[in-house]
Amino acid sequence: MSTKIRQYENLVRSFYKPLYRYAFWSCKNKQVAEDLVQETFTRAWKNLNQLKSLDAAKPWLFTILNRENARRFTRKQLPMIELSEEWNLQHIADKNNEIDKIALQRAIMKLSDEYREPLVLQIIAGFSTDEIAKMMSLNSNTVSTRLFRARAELKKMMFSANVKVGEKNG
Amino acid sequence: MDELEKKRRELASPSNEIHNLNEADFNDLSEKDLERMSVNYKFEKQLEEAITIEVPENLADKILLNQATQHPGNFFLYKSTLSIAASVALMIFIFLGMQAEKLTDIALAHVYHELDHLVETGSTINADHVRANIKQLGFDLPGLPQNISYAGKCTIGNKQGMHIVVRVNNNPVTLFISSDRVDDKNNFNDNRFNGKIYPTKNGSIIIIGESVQDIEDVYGQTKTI
Repeated sequence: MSTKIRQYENLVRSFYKPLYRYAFWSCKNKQVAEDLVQETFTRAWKNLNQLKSLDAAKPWLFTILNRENARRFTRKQLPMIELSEEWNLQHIADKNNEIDKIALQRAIMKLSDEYREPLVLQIIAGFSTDEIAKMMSLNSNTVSTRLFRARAELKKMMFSANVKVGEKNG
Repeated sequence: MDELEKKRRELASPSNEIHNLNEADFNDLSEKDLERMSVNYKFEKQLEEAITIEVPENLADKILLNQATQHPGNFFLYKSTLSIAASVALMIFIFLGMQAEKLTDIALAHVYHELDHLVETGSTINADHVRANIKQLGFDLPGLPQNISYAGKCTIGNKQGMHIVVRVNNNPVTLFISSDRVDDKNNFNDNRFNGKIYPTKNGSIIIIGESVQDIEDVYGQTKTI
């Protein structure tokens, strides 16, 4: 097996999970997320010689995925059946999911992209504020503010959901 | 970093705030701060669990398979994605148990474990691509039958090898190419399958099928290596 193939296989096996999760939260669709990860690795294979070190692999792959996701909107799209948010939530919620977890996933879905994307990058991939800023071409303070506001929004939505449940039960 | 900047970063990364606390800092925390951090910690855990959704089984294998089919010169070929998980499981099984087993026993177990590959699919794999991948293992098989219904890399005998299924006289015949070398040509069988193993310059070839005639036909074509 050549060095390139071994390196590629290592990249795939090391990063496909966080990339898929990030892709899912970016596009909110499982099939599209899978395609995005696939396209990301196809592009990574073509440009593997650009990868200077293994340390650089993670931000490099996430940046490719971001570009692939953006490219989706510029490509000619095949007719798609719009799936409701509820449908997607049912699909990510397995039977072991607790009510709170589903409610939180619902709240994450409702966050605006500018809040959700840095939050997912931070939690899924463990990127620092500076790394996220670099990847999203933003200033670090802006990212910090968005991360704080994302959490605040989620807490607000969760609190509101709990109050509604309480009202219905009461 | 000034205090404002520090505070901004703490609010943006509550986990860091908790992880960065040393014992002295922890003892200095007020009740109020302790409670706030405890709530934050719980919320971060919930957030992590909610965001960490299930990843489709075999996605990594599907990605590698896709790459293999797009660049067959660089990758081994795979025929069926469904078999990949089974192959990985079998590889582990073989790796753990192989030292006590003979190569022929391992090959037979491999066939039984992946019986799906013997089923006629109606499609064939380009023999030139398969031969190109075999060459990467240091083998040359100019006589490889053209009617190939499955080809995939595998580990056999603790060495990298290849698993190929060809159709001979309308019957499936399995070939294993292994870098493990045997000393002599040998025949073997069990209640269902017959087999032949023979040494080559860089390892060995194992042919397994239900009919002895089919095996001999494949052997006749491939032994000229």
